Amino acid sequence: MILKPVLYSELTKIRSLRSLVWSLALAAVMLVGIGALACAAYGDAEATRADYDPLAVGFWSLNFAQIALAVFAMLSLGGEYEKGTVTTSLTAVPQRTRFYLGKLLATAGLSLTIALPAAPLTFFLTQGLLDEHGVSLGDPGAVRAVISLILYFPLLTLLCMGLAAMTRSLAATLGLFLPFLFLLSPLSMEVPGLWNVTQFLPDRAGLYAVMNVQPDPDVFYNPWLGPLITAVWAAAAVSGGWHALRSRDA
Amino acid sequence: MAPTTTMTTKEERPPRACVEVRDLTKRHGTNVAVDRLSFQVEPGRVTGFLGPNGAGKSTTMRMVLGLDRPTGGEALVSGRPYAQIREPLRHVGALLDPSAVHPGRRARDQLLALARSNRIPDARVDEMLDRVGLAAATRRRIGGFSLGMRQRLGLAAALLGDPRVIILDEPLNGLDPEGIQWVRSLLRELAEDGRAVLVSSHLMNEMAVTADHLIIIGRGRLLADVSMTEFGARYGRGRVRLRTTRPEQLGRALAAVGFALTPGDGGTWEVPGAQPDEIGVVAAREGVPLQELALHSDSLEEAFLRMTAHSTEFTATANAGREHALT
Repeated sequence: MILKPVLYSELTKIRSLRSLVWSLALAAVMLVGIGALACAAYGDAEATRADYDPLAVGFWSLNFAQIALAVFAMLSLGGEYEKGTVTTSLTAVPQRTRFYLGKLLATAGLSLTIALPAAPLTFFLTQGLLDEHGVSLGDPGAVRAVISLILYFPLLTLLCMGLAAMTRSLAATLGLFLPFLFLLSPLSMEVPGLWNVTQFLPDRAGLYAVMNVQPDPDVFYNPWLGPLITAVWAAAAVSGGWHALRSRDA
Repeated sequence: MAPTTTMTTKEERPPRACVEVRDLTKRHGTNVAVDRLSFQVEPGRVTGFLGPNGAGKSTTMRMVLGLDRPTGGEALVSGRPYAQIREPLRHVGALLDPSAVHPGRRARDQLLALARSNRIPDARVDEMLDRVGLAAATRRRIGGFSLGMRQRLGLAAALLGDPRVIILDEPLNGLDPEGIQWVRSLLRELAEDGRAVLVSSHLMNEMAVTADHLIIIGRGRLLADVSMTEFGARYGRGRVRLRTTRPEQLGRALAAVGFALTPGDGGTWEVPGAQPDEIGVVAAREGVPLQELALHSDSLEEAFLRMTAHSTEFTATANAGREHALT
């Protein structure tokens, strides 16, 4: 099973669509830009609060960047169903596992590629702007946060692609998952009983590892386990999508 | 071993380019889209795949291309199931739905992505865009293409890998007369190269001037598997048209030899199921003057409609095999 031609083909597909290029670029720009803006504008005010956490303020922009990233991932796979191009794609690469793997690797690979510079850049920029309220890379939790952030990009990408492969509809995936990511999941943090459960959701687990200097006593797991929990969700979605792609008619 | 030409420098090809469909069946719940369909697409000729809309043509093609899984039977391309072909674009060129393209992508990028998945050189993309007449539109986004241009782009995609088997679903749809002419000569050329060409259509008149061979299906079942010439001879029912000043006398004479003279339009008379020379002999013997004497065929379209309109009546014979179901 040779993946290289499929990978090359999938990268060509992504590169040739403005919606995909822009949504991925937007994810990086929002992470760095909104992060810097927030620290410059509200850094000092936030620092006076009792529950102040420099990583939560510095990486606050991830809440927005992840939406653009999710759109990128869903467009990459769901767009093929939306436009019916999946038929042509599968005529060129009829081995469905190979097609799926190639697409997952190309898309998630690009997410990782963009996160590798964007995550450290955001860290140094925002913590620099927070100045004496900021942390340095040597401080506890800082390295974990940056690594978790880098991992969160490809993991969220895989999760969204798996969902898109399962629903085979761009509208359904966007309509169901984006409100969840943007509204329901963050709101659940404010409901104490619910938070015991929702802290295991893929986005909460991922963000927890990124946005906390110290472990939160209300969270049952070590922050380092955050990316792992996200990965378990991503693996479940990816295998669900794989099953759908293999068993159903294209 | 098939004889090879001296020009052959391409990679090894399967010995015979063809499509074989055996007892192919597709059920969606209780609805049977394709029903124990068997036929073969031979190399070196254009095979027309005819049937009214909803007869199961597209579903059959999708199963041949491994997109839909058959409920029963099998479809083989050059002896293998499609999904087992490595780099299938080099063996099979297909165009199913020219509108299944991303409108935001440029024509050239669309083909590049396809070519690269099968390790076809990028240069081939420009060559094919040129061949289908889209050289001036390579940098344009497909969203602005007319249906005719999308058909051309789809054909360029189908020809990318210089395939020996070509499968096209209604490739003449949306083309202007000049485009139709062009596709026809392209199909002829491809067949003359020794490629197996399968082209679907729901219009007999389209196929009459394009195909060498016909596979006609109705409600998912095989109705006929005949050469174009044979179809014309068999189903284009003959009818002699004539003008005469003494129809009563001629009518009596014809009735005596088993023909019926019936009034046609515009003062003409018709004799169904006859040949002009047979009528000419009778008229000469009787001394009846004829002002006009000619053979009229029912159009092939009418023959095709007659056949498919009653498709259910012929299922018993159609299932007997690939033999001509209508006799």
